[in-house]
Amino acid sequence: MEYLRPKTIEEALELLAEGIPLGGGTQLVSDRFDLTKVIDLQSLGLDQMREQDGIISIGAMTRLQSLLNGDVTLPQALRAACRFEAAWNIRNQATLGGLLIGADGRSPLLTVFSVLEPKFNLVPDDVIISLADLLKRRKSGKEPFILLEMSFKRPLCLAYDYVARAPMDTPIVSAAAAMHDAGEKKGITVSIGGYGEGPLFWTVDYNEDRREALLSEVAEKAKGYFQEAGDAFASAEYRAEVAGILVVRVVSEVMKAC
Amino acid sequence: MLIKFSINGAPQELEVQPQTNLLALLREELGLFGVKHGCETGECGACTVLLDGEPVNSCVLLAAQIDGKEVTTIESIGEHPEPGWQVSEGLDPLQQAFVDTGAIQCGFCTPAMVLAGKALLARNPDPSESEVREALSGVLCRCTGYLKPVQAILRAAAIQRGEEVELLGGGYPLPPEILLGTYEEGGSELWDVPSGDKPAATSVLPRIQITPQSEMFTSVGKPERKVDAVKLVQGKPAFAADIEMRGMLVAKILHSPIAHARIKRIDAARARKLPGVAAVLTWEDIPRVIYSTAGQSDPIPGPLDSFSLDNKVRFVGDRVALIAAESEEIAEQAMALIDVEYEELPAILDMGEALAKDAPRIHDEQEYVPFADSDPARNLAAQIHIDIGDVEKGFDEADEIFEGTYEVPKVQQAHIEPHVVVTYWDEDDRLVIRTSTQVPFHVRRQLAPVLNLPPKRIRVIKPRIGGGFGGKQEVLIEDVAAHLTIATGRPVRFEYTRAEEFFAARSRHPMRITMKTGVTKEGVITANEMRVLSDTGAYGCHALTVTGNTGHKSMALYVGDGKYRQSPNIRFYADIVYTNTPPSGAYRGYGVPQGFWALERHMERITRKLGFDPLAFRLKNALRAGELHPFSTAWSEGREPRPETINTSGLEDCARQGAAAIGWERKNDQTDWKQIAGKPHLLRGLGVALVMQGTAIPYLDMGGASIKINDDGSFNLLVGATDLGTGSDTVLAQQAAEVLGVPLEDILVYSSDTDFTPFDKGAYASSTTYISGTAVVRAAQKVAERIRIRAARMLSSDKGEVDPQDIQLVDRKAVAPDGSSVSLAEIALNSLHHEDQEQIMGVDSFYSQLSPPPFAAQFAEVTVDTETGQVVVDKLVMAVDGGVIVNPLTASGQVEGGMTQALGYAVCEEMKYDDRGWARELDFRDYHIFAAHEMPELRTIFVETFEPSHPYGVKAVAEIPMDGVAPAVANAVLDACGADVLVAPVTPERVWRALKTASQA
Repeated sequence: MEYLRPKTIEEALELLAEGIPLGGGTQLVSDRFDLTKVIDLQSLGLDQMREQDGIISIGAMTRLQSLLNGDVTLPQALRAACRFEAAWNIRNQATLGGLLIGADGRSPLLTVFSVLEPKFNLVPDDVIISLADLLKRRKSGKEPFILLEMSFKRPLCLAYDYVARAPMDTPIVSAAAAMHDAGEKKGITVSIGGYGEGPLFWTVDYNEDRREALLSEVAEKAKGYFQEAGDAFASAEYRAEVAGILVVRVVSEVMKAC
Repeated sequence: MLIKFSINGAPQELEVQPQTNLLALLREELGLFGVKHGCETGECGACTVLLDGEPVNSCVLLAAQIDGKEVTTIESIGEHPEPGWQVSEGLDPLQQAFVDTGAIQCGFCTPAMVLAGKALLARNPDPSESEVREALSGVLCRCTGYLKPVQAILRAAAIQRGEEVELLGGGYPLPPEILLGTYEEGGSELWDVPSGDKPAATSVLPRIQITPQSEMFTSVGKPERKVDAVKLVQGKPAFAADIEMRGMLVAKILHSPIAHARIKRIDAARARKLPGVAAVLTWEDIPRVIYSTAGQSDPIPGPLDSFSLDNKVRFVGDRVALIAAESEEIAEQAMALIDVEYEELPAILDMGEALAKDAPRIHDEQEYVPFADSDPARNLAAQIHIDIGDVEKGFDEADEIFEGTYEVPKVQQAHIEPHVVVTYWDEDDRLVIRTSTQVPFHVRRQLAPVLNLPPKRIRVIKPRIGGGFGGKQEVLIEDVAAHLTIATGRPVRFEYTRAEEFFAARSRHPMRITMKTGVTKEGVITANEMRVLSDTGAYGCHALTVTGNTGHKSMALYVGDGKYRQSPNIRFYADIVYTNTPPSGAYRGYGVPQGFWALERHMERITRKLGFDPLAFRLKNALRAGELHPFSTAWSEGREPRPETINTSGLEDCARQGAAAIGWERKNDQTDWKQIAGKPHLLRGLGVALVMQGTAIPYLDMGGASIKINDDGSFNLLVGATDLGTGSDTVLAQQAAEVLGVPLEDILVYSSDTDFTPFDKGAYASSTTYISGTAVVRAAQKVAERIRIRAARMLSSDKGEVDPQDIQLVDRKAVAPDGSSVSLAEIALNSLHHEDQEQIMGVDSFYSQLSPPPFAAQFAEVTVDTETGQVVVDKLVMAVDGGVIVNPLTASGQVEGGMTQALGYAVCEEMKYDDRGWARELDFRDYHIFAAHEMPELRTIFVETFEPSHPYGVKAVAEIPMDGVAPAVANAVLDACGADVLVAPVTPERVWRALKTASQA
């Protein structure tokens, strides 16, 4: 195996065709005997967090622990999900970028991120893409890229809930909801996790006059999404039912809080 | 590549291979063995180091990543306080707090915890309990239950802030004796249970109801610091893998990817040609010797059905080939070059199918040696039929019959130190096996024929063990390294990965248990029946004895009342079957937790249906002191059963004290406490389980001890007993100190080495404190006798002769009735150098004709989400009668750790396999064990009795904490919301389904 630590993005991009980007190492190092070349991104200065005009930007090499105690105070539900994601040691190592590339549907953080309507800055294309596109792109694996930054607008309210076998166990079902201010209208983005390659998420218009109907709609949609979501940890029947319950809880919470 | 970094404050430049991880760099290049290997995926945290002051896991860091950074390991934190003439700053206050509070059990994760604590206190000198727990969240501990490590960090923080803390040390204040009342009368008034109590903020000592006899002891009963604590808290190279040898090879196993197959052809030629490969062994290369991997006394009470390598594989993970190479990487490359052609056979993955007439036969080898009723043609590893009394008559006499079927899963011991062994030929051409084992003497005896060596040419060294919990009561991997050392002539190190622990080690037997119980309308049990289907997996190691104990311990507890006490009616039938899954084996509790899951769930359902008080009903029917252990005349681990009478039982007091501690009276509070305001979907509940275990295997378990005096009046205590973190070295030393009248620090314990220490059957069956302890007491008494004789001579004068029998050994002195005395150091010098020279020493051993049962009441408080089925366990209480408690610190650590393991058994631990027999759980993400930041409150109460068959009245505490937590939690769930979960663990989906069933009913 070859280890490289580029000093600039350009240098990293030149190496990208031959190697695999290395964040904190928590996912890659255990497979090190199968790797031929790794490109350690730690010297690229991608570990900055900032908030400007309500837009929060987090560098891809930001350690997960910084989501809890970094320069920007993130929403409580996001910080809670970060605690559920990993214990302290791993949070000190694992990076945001590594998580976004490796996490599956059971990831609490990915479930919460998915309701923040985040944008991702990628090179070499120098494009800004959505989470859905990022998940597609990482799955295809055809076009290597380096993730520079994630940014999202601070939500008006954010909620997260989950069901697991033990308080800090990986969730069997999870749900998140965020209320966003979209000009004159407000929208609620909802996600369900705990299963599959990534969380499932969608946005609904928020109308104070039809709260109950909205709750009913998101519950039905969540149930529908998880109709086939059975595995060794839980049946599809259970996941579908509980996903419906959890989305009602998190959506109710953001409606109440906002 | 060259990397520059700082290690423990010193700049370092090293040439490293890019694929080297930091863990390997620290251990193998720099000899920093305080950094431990517990997994490969960063989940256990045993490999914690501080990187620029923050705790990280060195197993998932490339060494190259630390270029330019600062690494701190445990080796730079504190030092021994008395390094001869050298000036020492001593241990770090945090290390000292770990020592003082009993926070160290096996010690494998202790360096990691200390480093995490250091990082926390560096930034936050006044942390809250939850902040401490968060700081420890990255370090999994399977021994302690985290309570004492949390206390240690809080204590160190307070000391560093200059605050006064409770005095510990030689004079631990014992808590006051608890006043007794009846639980009906007293409730929590007898016990101050403040709301919002933070357990870690209170005393580190458990509550003890002390027997009058134990108040007379000097060393026994005192919360002494562990004799190995200072070593372990510094991360000294005490464990099996903490050794460097020139030319040492790394071993790997090629495992089967198929659940059941014959190896038609195997070609290792390409692997053998790979540069750096020293040996590849297949079944064609080594002798075909059948044996059992179960580490048990001779004769093995089970079938002989295993080979080191065979031409058939019987589970996914079974052995196909053994590889020794210059590095792990080369060994893995070699594995990929072994060409194997399998003839796949039909597999049995469900124990319910094993006995079917057309089931494939798993063991068809000619060499198979059955034991008792094992019948490989029927996939039957063992069978048990026990009828006590007249069971059918008992059912006829009942007013109601209750039946139910219950299930328990396969679960893993999950000791943080994996199985690990180093083998080498010594200068006398004897094979040395340095191994992390609970059974060093069994390893030597059982492996001798496998290796074609007589036992006398094998030496087994058991260094420190990083947890075992029964998993290392198995001769599991020693043969792998040994075969490869024989093949190559070179030292070999073999260590399981965490994934191998899950798919190729042993685990707890899953069982399907059907209960049938007859009860009168007055609440008297007239007959009790348990039928068990037990899955031993691919091999029958511990098949008979584990499942035998399922009945022997659990079904002995409820004998009935009145005439049924004199003649209980009990039936226990069990089929232990082979399947094509990883073998089951020994795991703390040894079959008993399975039995109590079924029994105590069943009892709870009976009490609810008949409307009895759950505790009153149980106590009315429970076994009592003075009664015959009902199974003692029926079964004894494959040996001849002999009658045993129960000498002591503190069960009623346990129930009373435990009930008070949990606030049992709240159980009937249907509104204020059970329902949570504003959260109608959350309901609280309380549950209980009464349990009993055994203490050693009667007429079989034997342990020896050897003690000799040194020039300064100190003593070497050599024992074959194996302290796997339990504190047994300490409690054995305390018993020796009690006899010899010296402080604990004067007893130097060595354990164990088959060349130097007396035989001991090993650490299992809750036997060490009782069996090995009695051996220690006997050996010490011999030493004391010689000391008294010499002291009498030294103290006799013209004024008169002193009778040795009148001399007392106290405070390092032999004291005559007139108050004159001579120190033990003077006696030692006199005996070794001055006059009628002799080595004052004593050797003795002990085996028991009894297995006095400890008893306990275990309580759980839970909160259930009735919409999702999620269960949160809020509090666990265990009140246990383990006889006299030799060391309250170590014993309470055992209880806290055991309750925590059992908590996993209750709610989240479960091993599953897909339809090809592949394991679902391969790491600690999928196999969740409790971490520090998600623990419920734990409370331990000791209700002492004085067991007359031991010199100091001890029974056992090590295994019994495993027995009752799961049923108590399930009973609490039933109490909270009516969900009647019959299959463990109590997962959210099972609760959800049970709630649906309840609502439909």
